[in-house]
Amino acid sequence: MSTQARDYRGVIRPVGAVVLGIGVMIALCAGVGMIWDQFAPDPMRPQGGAAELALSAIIVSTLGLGAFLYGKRYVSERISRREATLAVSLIWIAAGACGAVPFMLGAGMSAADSFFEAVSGLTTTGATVITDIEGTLSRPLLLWRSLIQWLGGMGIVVLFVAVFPNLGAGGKHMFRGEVPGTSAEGLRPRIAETSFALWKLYGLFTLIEIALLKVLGLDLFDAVCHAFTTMSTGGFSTLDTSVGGFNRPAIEYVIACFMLIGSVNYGLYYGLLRTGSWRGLVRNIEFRSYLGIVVVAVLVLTILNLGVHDDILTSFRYSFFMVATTISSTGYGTDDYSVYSSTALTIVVLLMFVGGCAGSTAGGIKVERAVLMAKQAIAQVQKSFRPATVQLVRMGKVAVSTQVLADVASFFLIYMGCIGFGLLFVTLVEGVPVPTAFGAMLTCLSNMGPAPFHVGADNFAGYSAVSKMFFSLAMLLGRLEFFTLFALILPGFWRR
Amino acid sequence: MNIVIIGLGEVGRHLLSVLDKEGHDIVAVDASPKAVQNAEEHYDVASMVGYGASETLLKIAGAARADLVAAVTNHDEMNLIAALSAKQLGAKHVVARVQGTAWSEWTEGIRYGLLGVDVVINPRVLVAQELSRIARSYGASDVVDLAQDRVELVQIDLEESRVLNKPLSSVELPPHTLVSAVVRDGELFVPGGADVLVKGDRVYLIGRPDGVLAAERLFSKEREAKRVCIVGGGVVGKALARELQSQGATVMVIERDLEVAEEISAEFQGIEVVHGDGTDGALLEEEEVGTYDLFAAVTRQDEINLMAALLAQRAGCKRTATIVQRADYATIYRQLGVDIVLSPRTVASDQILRFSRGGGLHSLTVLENGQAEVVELTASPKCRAVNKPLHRMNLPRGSLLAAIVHGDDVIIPHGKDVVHPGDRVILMTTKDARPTVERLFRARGE
Repeated sequence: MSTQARDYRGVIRPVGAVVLGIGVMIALCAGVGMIWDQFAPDPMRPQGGAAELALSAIIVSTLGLGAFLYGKRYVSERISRREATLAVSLIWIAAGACGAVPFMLGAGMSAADSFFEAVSGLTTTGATVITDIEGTLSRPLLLWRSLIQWLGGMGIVVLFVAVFPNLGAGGKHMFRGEVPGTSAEGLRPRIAETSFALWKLYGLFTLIEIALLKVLGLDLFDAVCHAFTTMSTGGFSTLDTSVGGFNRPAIEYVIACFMLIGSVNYGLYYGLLRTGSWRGLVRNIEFRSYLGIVVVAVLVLTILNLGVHDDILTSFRYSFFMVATTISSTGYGTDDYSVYSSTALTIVVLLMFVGGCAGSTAGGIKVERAVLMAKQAIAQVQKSFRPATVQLVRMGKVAVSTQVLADVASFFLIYMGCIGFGLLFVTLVEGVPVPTAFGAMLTCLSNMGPAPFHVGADNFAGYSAVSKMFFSLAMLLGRLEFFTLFALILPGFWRR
Repeated sequence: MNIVIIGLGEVGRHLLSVLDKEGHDIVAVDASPKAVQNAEEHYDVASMVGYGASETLLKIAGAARADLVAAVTNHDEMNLIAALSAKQLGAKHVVARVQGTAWSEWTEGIRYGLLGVDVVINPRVLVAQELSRIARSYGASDVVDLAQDRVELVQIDLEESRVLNKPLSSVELPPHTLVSAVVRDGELFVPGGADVLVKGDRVYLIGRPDGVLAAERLFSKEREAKRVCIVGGGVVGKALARELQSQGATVMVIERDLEVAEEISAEFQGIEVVHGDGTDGALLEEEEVGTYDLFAAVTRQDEINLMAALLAQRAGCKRTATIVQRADYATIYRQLGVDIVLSPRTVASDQILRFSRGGGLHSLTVLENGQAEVVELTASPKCRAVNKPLHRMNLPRGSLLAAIVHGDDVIIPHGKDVVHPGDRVILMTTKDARPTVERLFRARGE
C-alpha cells in the first residue's frame, strides 16, 4: 500500500484570496473609524487606533497577496471534496489568525488573547478576554471587532463562493464544508447565486436593524456595531455592560427580535420573498418547533423570574431578551442569570444546547437535529414492543433517510464527546469546578458567549494561554459543526 | 438560461458537463438517487430524485420558466410525456430523445413538432446517416451536412499525400472549399496560408459538397466505400443498411441473432445477411471482410464493436468504423487504430446543445471534445457584421467565416465578400472566441 502524501497545494490560492480580503476589510475599518473620529468624535473612547489597524491591514494583505500569487501555479482544475474540506478549515484558522493582528497591534494584547478574541468574533461566539472594552478599544478596533463577527455570521466561505462564481462544483463542496446539511442549498441552481442571495438577505436585515436602532435614538456607531453583532448572532457589544448598558426597553426588544430573526433558516426568508407566500415559512416543521420552544420558554421564564424581578412586565422584558439571546446563541446580556433560580438557569442551559434553526447564523445543536433525534427516539421505543411496524421519521411530509438520521446521531455523539473531553482538559489544566468547566465548554461549542456557572466576572480573561487556544479550537469546531475540522485528523485524509 | 435535464445517463451527463461550464442554471432530474448524487458531486447544479414525467416534479424543477427542457432518459415514452408536460407548463423549448426499436422505422433522425414536442431526436438514425455519409466520402472520418446539405464539413486524418510538407497557400484547393481547422497533437488551430500540414494531422475541410469531394481526393488516397460490411442488425445497422443501399453500395450484414438476421433478410432485398458472431475471427476471414472498403461495427455493445473492428483490421480491412455508447471510449478506440468512431450520445447532445444558445442558431457541431464549434446561424439585420466586407468584420482570432448561404447561393467567402441581412452563415470558432463571434451576428441587445 502506498503511503504517499496527497498534494494539497491547490488550497493555497483560495486561502490567500480570503486572507487578502480580510486585509482589505481591516483597512476599511481603519479608514472608516478614522473618518468617524474626525467628524463625530467621541471623547469617552480611546482616540486614534487607525494607524495600528492600517499597519495590520498592510501585513495581512501582503501575506494574503503573497499566498494568492504563489498559489497560482498549483491551482486545481476543479476543487475536490477533500481540497474543499482543507480549504474551509484553513480559511477559518487563517482568518482567525489574521483577524487577531489588529488586536495585537491596536490594543497590545497577547497572541493567545488576540487569537481567542478574533476566533470568538468570527465564530460568532462573542466570549471575550477584554475586561475594559470602553477604556481600551479605539473606534477603528471596535468596528473591526464587530465587522469580523458580521463576516463570520453568514460565513466567510459563503462570501468567498459568492464573490468567485467560477468555482463550479468545488464551490459547492466548500459551501457544504461551512454550512453542513442541505437546508440552505437549492435556493438557486448555482451555488454562487445561492451564496449571493444569502448575503443579500443578511445585508438587508442588517440595514433594517441599523435604521431601527438609529430611529430609536442609538448613536449611529453603536447602532452599526450592534446590528453587525445581532444579525450574526455573535454578541460582541461596544459596552462593558453589553446591551443592558443602554437600559432602553425599546432597543432591547428590537435587538431581541432581530436575534430571533437571525436564527431562522435563511432559505425560508428567501422562499418568502420569492414567492410572496407565507406558507413555506409557516408550514416548516423546524420553524414551528423553534417558535414553540421560544414561546414556552419565555412564558415559563417570565413566571419563574417573578422572584427576581418585581412585576410581570419587567420580568417579561428580561426573560424575553434572555430567551432570544440564548436560543440564538448571541450572548448579549441585560440580566444577570447567576441570581436565577436553578430551574430557570436549567432552562437557559437547555436553550444553549438546542440553539437556532439549521441554515441560520445561530449555533448549538440546531432545532432540526433536536426534533429529528426526538422523533427517532420515539420511533425506536415504538419498535421495542412492536418490532414489525415500519417506523419512518418524517420532517413535515418528507420521510428522512436513515443516512441523515445516522448523521444527526453521530453529530450528537461528537458534540457530547467534545464536551466530555473539554471537561477533562479544562478541569485538569485550570483546576476550576466542574460546573464552571462545563459552562465554558458549552458556551464555546454552541458559539454562545457568556459562560454559566462562572466564578467571578463572566469573562475568559482569567484562563491560561493554553486554555484560550483550546477554547478557540472548540469555537471553531462548533461553528464548522465538527465534521470539516475532524476530517483533517483522520490519517486517510492525507494518504493517497 | 434556465435548463431542466431529465435523465442522467450518458447524454444527460454530457449535457450537464457542457452546460455547467457555460454557466447556465440547471436542474437535473433522475429516478435513481445514485445518478443524482453523482451529478451533485461533479456539477454545480440543483438536482431532484423523481419520475421525470410527473407534473408536480416538473413544476418544482421550474419547467414552467425553463428555456430548455431536455428529456433524455432511457425510456422513450417517458421522454415524450415529460417533454409534452413541460411544454404544457410553459417551457420555451422541449426536446425528447427516442432510440428504441419502435422508432426504427424513422428514416429521418430529427422530427420537429411531433405530437407537440419541439424536437424529437433519434440519435441512432442520426448516427447511421452520418456513417453513410462517411462511407460515401473519400477517406473522411466524419462528415457533417450543414445548411440543408448545401455545405459539407469533413474530417480527414492525413496519411501520405500530395498536400503534406508545403505551405497551405501553395496547395491548390478545389474551388469553393476551405481548410477550416487543423488538429495537431490534440490541439486545434485555425491555419493560415503559411502553415504546413504534416502526416498525422487531422484537418477539417468545409465547402460545397462537390468541391469537398474533389478536395478529399487531394487529401486522401481512400475512395468511396462501394462494399460495406455491417456488424449488428439493430436500429443503427438497419438504418445504415437502408441508407447505403439507396446510395447503391453493396452491403453485407453480420448478425448474431438468427431471428433478427432472417428479419433483415426479408426486409432488405439484395443485402447479404450472415448469421454469426462479428467477433469470430474465423468467420470474418471466411467472409473475406478484408475485401470490403468499410467495416462498420454498430452493435449495442461497445466492447464487441471494438473487438470486431480490430479483428476486421487484422483480416485486411482498411477502413473500420464503430459506434460507442460511452463517449469516453472514443479517444481510446482511435488510439487503438479504429478509423471512425461515432457516438450516438454525442450526436444527440450536439443537437440539444444548440437550443442552449438561443435565437437564430440552426445547427451546432462540437469538434474535438469542445475545443471548437461549427455554428450555423442567420445573420440578424441589426447585427454589426452585415453589409460590410469580410476583412472589415473584425472576426476574433481563432474564428473563421466558412460559408455564406445567400438565397440559393453558397459562397465560400474571401476578403471582399459581404454578409447580407438574413443570410445564413456558417462559422468555425474556438471555444474562447465563440461569445465574441456570436455577438457579431446577433442583433444588438439580444
